[in-house]
Amino acid sequence: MIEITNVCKEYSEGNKALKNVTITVEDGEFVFIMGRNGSGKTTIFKLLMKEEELTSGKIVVNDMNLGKMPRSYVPKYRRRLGVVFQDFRLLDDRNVYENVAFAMRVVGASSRRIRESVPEMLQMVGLSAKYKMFPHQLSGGEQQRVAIARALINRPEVLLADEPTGNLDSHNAMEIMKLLDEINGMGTTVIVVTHSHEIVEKMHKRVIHMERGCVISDDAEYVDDAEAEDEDDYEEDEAGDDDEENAGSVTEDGNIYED
Amino acid sequence: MRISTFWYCVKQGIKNICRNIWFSLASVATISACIFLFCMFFSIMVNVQHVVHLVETTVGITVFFDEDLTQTQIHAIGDQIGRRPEVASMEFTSGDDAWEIMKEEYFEGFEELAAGFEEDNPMAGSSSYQIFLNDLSKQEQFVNYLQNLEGVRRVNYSSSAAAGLTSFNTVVGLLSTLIIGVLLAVSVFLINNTINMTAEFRKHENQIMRYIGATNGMIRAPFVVEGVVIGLLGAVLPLCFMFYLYGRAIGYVQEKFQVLSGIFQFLPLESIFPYMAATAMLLGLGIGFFASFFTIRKHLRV
Repeated sequence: MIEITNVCKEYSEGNKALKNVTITVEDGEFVFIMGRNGSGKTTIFKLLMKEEELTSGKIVVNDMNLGKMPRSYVPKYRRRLGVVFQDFRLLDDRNVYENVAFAMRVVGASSRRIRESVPEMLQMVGLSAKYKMFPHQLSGGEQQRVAIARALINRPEVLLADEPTGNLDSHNAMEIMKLLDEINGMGTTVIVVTHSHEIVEKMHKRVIHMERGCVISDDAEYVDDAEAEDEDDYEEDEAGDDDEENAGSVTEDGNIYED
Repeated sequence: MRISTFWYCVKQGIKNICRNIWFSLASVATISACIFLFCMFFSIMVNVQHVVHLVETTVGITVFFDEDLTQTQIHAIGDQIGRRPEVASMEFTSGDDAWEIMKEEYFEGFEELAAGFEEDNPMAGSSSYQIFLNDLSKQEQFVNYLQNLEGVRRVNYSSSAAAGLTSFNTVVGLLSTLIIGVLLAVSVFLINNTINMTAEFRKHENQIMRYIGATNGMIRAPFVVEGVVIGLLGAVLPLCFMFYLYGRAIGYVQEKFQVLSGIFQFLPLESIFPYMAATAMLLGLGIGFFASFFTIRKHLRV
């Protein structure tokens, strides 16, 4: 369980990235954090990664209080997280197999475990046949699959993805989201930071909207509303203004409406 | 650390060297120059010390006593001198022994001349102690002590050879420390640059390692391996060169300056090489390890 309670983050005098943010994510949940640039969503990602220190408030991840965590414990904590980035961050001089194995090697896994786990993981992300290829020989979607395989290889409890579909076309983006959904189905908590409304709408998951460092809506009901909306569309919807009545929903031009 | 992880770090360290081959070679060359000079001064110092030691064991101080002293009184003073820590060994020569030596040295072939003195030993008052010191640099101080002893008539000693060798030894020591110090600083600076360069190349990889949960030790290890390998290579090269050069240099000096071979007795390679090699390897290892260990510290926080 992830509990973010009254968290404030100030980078420099007057530059407040987060203002009293409170979010709770249950084990096994799939959550989108949405917002425009500067809304504070990446700051939350960095705080969860323990890459930045919070200014005030409290963050507890699976009973670990990040504010009180000594720096020497951070590597151990990070092994319980999987991280995926928009730019994939693969090692160009290593092939698919080595990129995934790298994550196991740096945490000191045995060669035998690496030989067993990596092919399994590559099969799961659908890249078994391409294990010898180098990143530049793969499509964007495939590169992101490698990154996901690398993030999952150490069996993390939480998967954090920062704009994982930002560099992908809509088809590949949906493929990646389906993969993340499958991973979530296996019990891993997934938190995706994104600004893609298209994806969020199609996934029907919980969505937290952020703006100027504040949570402006935590739409746990989004699933039902969206489903209802889909049904309405199917039945030749007449009530076109229904969307706007839904808390935290978005219009086609991407504007967020605050309740 | 697992063996597989250890070998992984070694492999990455060697890869780092290959990525920055020119910087790495420059570092190896500087360390080699530093360690070669160290080996050269080491050889010179060890040989000079050896010669000084030879001089110490052959150049003694001779103490003569007042003529009215009895043999017992002379031995009592001898015992007192023998208890001093500076004394390595001492030999007593009685008046009769001195006369026997003199007869052999000066009256050989003219024994009939010496026979005239049989009843009246001209060396009767020449009982003496010949004293050899542990450390020739303390000779002046020790002679002062002897001259102030009651019953001592005269102290014979040679100061020039000992003082010359001791001061030569000191100059060589100081000069070598200075040059090695400067080269050491240059080596550390160059390794520092090489490691910084590699750290820049590996920035992306280090960042990923950090996110995955690698410890500082794991991130640091390849760089330390890189530094240590550069340091060890920098030590091995000059050692090989010294191994080849030492015997030839001694042969050349003995052949060209034959007069020296009577004075200097050079140490054989096998008696100095193990110490020289061990010190040089430790030096290379130390430079490589510490330079890389401290350089990479600033790159650890991503």
